[in-house]
Amino acid sequence: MSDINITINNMDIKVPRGTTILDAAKQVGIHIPTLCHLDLHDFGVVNKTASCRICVVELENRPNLVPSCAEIANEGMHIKTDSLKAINARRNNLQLLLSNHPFECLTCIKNLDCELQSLAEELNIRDIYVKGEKMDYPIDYSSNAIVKDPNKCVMCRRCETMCNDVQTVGVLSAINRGFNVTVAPAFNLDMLETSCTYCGQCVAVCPTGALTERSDIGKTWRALSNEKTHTVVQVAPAVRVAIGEMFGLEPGTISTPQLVSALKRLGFDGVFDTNFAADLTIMEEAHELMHRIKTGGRLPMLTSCCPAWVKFIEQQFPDLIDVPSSCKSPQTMLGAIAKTYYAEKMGIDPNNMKVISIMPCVAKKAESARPELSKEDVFNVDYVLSTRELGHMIKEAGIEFNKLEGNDFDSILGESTGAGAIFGTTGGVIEAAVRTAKELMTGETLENIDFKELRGLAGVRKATIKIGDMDLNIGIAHGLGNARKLLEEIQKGTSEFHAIEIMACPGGCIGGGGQPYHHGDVSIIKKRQDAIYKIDASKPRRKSHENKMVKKLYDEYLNHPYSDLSHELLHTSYKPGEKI
Amino acid sequence: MAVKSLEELRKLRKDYQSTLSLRKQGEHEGDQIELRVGLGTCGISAGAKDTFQALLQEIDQRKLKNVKVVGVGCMGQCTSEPIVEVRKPDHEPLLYGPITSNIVHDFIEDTVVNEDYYKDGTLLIKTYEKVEV
Amino acid sequence: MKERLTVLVCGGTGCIASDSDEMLIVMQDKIKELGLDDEVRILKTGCFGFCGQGPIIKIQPDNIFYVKVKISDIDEIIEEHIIKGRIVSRLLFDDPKSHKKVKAHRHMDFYKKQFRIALRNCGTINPEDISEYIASRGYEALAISLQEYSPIDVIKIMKDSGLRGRGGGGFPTGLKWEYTYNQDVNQKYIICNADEGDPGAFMDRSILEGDPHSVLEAMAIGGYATGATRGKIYIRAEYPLAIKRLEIAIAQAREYGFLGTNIFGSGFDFDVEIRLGAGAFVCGEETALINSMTGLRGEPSKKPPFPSEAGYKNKPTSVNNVETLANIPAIILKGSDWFNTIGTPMSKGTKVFALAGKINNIGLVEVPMGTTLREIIYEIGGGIIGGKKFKAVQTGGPSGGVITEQHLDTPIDYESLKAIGSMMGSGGMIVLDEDDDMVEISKFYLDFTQEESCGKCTPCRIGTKRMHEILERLTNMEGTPEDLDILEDLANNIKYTSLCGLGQSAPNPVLSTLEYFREEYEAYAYRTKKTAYTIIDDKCIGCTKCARVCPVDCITGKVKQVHIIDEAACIACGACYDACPVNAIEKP
Repeated sequence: MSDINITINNMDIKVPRGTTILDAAKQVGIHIPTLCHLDLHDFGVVNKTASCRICVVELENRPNLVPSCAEIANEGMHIKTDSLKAINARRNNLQLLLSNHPFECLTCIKNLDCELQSLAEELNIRDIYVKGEKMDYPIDYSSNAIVKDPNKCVMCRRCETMCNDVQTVGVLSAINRGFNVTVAPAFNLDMLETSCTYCGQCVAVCPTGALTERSDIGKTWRALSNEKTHTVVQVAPAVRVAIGEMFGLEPGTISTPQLVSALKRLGFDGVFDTNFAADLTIMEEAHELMHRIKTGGRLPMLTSCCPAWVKFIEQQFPDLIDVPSSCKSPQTMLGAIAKTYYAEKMGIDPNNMKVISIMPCVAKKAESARPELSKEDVFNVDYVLSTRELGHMIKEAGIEFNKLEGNDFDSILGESTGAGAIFGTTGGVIEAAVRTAKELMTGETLENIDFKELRGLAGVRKATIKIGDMDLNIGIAHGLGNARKLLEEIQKGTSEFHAIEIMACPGGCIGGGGQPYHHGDVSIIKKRQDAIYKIDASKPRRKSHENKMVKKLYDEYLNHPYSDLSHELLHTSYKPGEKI
Repeated sequence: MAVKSLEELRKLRKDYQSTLSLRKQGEHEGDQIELRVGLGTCGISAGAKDTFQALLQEIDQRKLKNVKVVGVGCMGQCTSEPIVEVRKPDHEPLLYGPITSNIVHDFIEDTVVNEDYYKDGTLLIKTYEKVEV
Repeated sequence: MKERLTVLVCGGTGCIASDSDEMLIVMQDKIKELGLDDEVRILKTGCFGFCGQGPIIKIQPDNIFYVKVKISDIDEIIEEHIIKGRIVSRLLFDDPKSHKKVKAHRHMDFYKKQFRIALRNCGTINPEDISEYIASRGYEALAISLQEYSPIDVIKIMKDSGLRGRGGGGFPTGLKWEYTYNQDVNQKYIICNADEGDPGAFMDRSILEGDPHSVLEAMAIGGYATGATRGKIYIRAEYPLAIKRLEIAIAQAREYGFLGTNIFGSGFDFDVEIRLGAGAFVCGEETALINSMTGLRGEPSKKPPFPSEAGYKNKPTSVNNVETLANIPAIILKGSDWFNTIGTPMSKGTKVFALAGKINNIGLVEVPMGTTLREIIYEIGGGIIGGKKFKAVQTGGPSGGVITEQHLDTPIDYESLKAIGSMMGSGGMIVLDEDDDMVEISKFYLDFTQEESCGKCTPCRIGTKRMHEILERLTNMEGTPEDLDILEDLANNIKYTSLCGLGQSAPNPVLSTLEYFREEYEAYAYRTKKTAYTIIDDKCIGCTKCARVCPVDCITGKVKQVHIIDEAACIACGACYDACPVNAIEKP
């Protein structure tokens, strides 16, 4: 018998054995409020600490209430989700949480997007009946990417679950005990001193304002208002399929034209597309791969456009530092080209130029500050804004996003192919690389360039692409926990792959730490992924080496891929670090 | 020296039991015979310690159950040391003296084994009333 | 030379804290010097239980029980008793009721009603010598189980005996072993919970210090019954002596083949490992214990699944308390029928209590279930110190409630105590008298639970803090009557929604004292509580002694005239109370 009979709120229903009370209730349309619970089973994790005690329900003949998110329904259970005792318990526990929370909703970055706030509204809390001492921890502003405010923490442990179980970085966990408990690195170190990769997955799942991104909106406004500064902005591939959600549009709406218009309205002088740089990256990276294969260089080669993943390998696998590609990430490449090629062409002094990137990522903020990505104090990329931050800026400027006409990117650094567009999803970078590498290595023009075997949302994927007589073994991982599996194989010498694509965030950049919050709904990420492939399919040119503006760049400036100038501007090096 | 069976264990227990015998005797109350040996200075100088040891040997050799030997302070009749008081349940306590180590064998034979008086030409005194502290 | 005297020196932590280990060495040296070491055996033993009278020295076969012995008394004991057979009567126990000296422990009120099963070897054998344990039928139960019973037979004996968990939960041990046995998994574990965190509880410590082999034997029997080949003892690091005795015992047991492979030639393997706790009361909760042992944060996890299904390393694990285990060899040897003759229908056997508080005879007592509280307090405990009036007895440590005069004839067993709003707990029993402030008592316990809360779940983490804040306000005379309602609401919420037993029972002292002593809370809340001393007019003789000793000069009055205390200025130091020759001053 795989089904069991239970009664919820006097309704008799049948559910599969092993269903939690929460899921059973959902089946009959009964809503039980939750807080710490987060179901990301598609990414291999469900946060079931059952510690917030908001979702408690009453069982017949049991004086103690049980957490519906974690309690498995048993045959014959009589459940009451809306008894007075259960409702009271929920309200009491929420009031306890609120009694220990700063009352700065009005100026909090999560205002109107905070799960605690929504709960308070849903349960109609009008007064905290028990006031007392509140936590008073200093806010950690140390890192360039993430801000940690322990005073807003409700101990849901989602960040801990993401950091330890999904990303296997292990920086965040609970410290101290009792009332003074909080989630922080060991010994309460500043985030900057740890091996945090700034992947931002903790930020993506935090229900309150305890973990948020470092804001660069102020600096951006100042650059925009300074008439002497030439502001250049670039937009990552994953942003355009998600930013619409900030304005009430369906997830997966492709808002590229409106996005460009909005950026122009905000006052940016040059509005460019990171997808252009993605094509550029493929040119460099494909040549690097071919070079390694031909000269018996280090294999497998790993893609390196994800800065969280780069920090991961530097600190956790320092012996594998020669494995990733030496290519910079697309945003940095575009920044480097903007302050040389573009600046020269337009007659602008690079010291007066500010390059701002709109990224789905918070690690990019930390990346842009890396010293090796600058030339004599002139950084490739100056400021990075998350998708969410741009959304706020657009609203702040009073721009009605949905009503915008639409523009195209400035083509000089704005033309892109379909291959560049798919960088935003897991499997996209390597598919783009294969399209170019296969044609370059075999000299044939490919008919079918949809390498569907590289697509999907499974955490670790593998495929073999025939290139001439060579079987190119490709590995793909998203989520650092999955990356770790492939890296350990390389360490042991059992890796079968020639090329591996790694993205730190589950789903790839579309699931990045800077994207509009998904609140546990993985279907949003799926919809964004579908949109990415739609953009690709709609492009007239879908292979990176067919990008006319990229060709122009090489002809006019860089000579050829992997040239000396390319190396100087578009490649970087890595430093082994310590795991803390 | 692993013990490999229940029988082995039980044998081991028998071997070790002697270490606990005094404790067991001490806790046991009921039909025990208590032999009290006067260990005051006069007693010791008259050889009470040897009497004590001889009593223990005799009891051990005869494998007598329920007999315990306890040292007590001076019982008064110093000229008759070493003095041994025999206390049997439901009997009046009896004092014997001098009980030197060489006559312990017969002493035990009569008083414990035969449950009789010790008749061999020694002083037999009924015990005095003792005030319990 | 035959041995004629055995001198047992108590080696429990309590007596050691009063130098009993030094006494042992002094005695041994002296005896050796005098050439008496063949005749006289000096050994250290486990806790006798009469801790309020320690250090204790017992001499056999004389059956003399010396109390409050100091190192300076050793010479006299040797000279007078050991050499000359003269009892040192000043070191004998002075019965508080009859004011007479008592020589043997079985004649003491403290011991008369006790029935020692778990503590059977404590005080009679040297815990560091396995041969003494063997001489007391040690490891025979294990041999019998392995050679004559199947695992199911052993489980049946445990079920029939009615033994229930002594750590506080009261779950039938036989059932727990049966659940673990029924799991079809190749690796299983037996864990001994020796975390004993209740403040004032030292039952488990005394058993581990005084008779560690009984626990090891029971674990092996449990391993055989459930199919577990590995045992772990999780013991709090604050018990260094118990840890040391356990290490010695484990090494000796391995030497004799009672732990290891192919025990008694039966093909059954079992070995034990010690794991230390790190100072967390919550790690006495079985899932938190298991998490701590695995190297994770010591936080409880949701139950179900229960450890017997998925415990340590996700394998079936039976977590048993020290005292529960100590009973098991006796049950196997004497049979479940024998065990059934002791106790009440639902609670078989005995329970060890740590009796403390405002009572004459303080220490560890083991009584059959069904003994009434009145018997324990007035007979075994010897009544209230100083003849004061009994107020309440607190059982179960920080998880339990108070029991008042009206319930003193309640027989002690799991169900009866629960029915009157308290619980058995692990065995702490604190007696309170008329001078104890019940609000301060409940604040003391909440202080503890709030400090020890792991912080995982909302109601315990924040709720106990808020409760504590309210109690602080009340006792600082800054509370309000509304605070009492809020306190009760909070307490009920924490009780019914906390994740683990710590939170679920933390409000018990408060709820219980609110029910039986609400007037004391109200006195704080309505600010009617007297905080000053007062003079009883018709008793005062005007001797002026009180006025002269008052440090704040708040007593006025002329010679031979009734004096008066200015209540607003009184700092309640009590100097006047002590000075008054005619008991004319009343405490607040």
